[in-house]
Amino acid sequence: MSQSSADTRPRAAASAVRMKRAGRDAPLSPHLSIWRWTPVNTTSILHRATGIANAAGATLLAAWLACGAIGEGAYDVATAILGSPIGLLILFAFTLSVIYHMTNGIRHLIWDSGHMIGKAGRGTSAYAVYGIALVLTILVWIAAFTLAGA
Amino acid sequence: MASKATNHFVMQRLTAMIQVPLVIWLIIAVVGHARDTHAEFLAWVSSPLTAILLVVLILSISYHLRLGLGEVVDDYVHEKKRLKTGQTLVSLYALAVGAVALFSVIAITLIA
Ligand code: HEM
Repeated sequence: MSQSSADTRPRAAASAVRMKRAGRDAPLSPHLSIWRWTPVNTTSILHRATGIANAAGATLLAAWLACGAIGEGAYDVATAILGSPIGLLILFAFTLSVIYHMTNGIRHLIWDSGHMIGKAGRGTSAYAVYGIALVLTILVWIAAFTLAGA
Repeated sequence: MASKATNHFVMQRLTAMIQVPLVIWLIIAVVGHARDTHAEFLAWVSSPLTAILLVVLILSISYHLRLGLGEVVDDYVHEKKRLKTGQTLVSLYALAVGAVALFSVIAITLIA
């Protein structure tokens, strides 16, 4: 892991010093716009984004179960929509979202137990989360299509 | 009980831990049942193990997502009145998703 990619210090820090010297106000507080995006700190905003996406996925799960409960007609409509190319794309996105959120969520739980909180652990585990989430999602879909073909 | 914030923290993590095995189970199960006919779907959902796992997962998810979305609202909505409205909407949303899913599993179990 390169040192620089784990460095999430505000980009504006240096310029803030310069501005102060020039007699201007420094920025009030760290804000979204002055953080440099790195693979490591991106895991955090992705956790939030996938959490929100998962909420949409939970709505879909509820709708799917409801269609099954309503009857055969509603169930067949749901299956047809989910099995269409767009439906499959949406399901693929939800698979990636929930698996990413779960993997990174486990990372959060490990942190909460007081482990892996050094700089090195934080960086290495970020790449591990990306890799594991991607591989597991692809495996799930290989399994899905293999079963469908069988 | 400890403070509200501590309770929030603990419940977010408790539901997270419950969800790890259940979400893995759900993904595998859905892959296996993606091609089910309606009759096969009803038989699967109403089998005792499936029904109980779904019920636990639904309860956990709706709590987890209420806390999680609530935190997002907390972070971005600063005006007090709007924050309250936002939190209420999040709670209603979580309740609606949980209620529909839960009722569907119960209904399927009773009709199948
Ligand atoms: C599958 C296992 C899951 C695990 C291990 C997990 C874990 C976590 C953890 C530890 C947090 C707190 C993160 C923090 O404090 O910064 C969190 C937040 C959240 N989770 Fe989950 N979660 C899981 C599934 C889900 C599901 C299924 C949903 C939606 C239905 C969901 C929605 C959310 C939301 C909206 C947040 C708040 C995000 C934020 O505050 O930025 N999670 N999750």
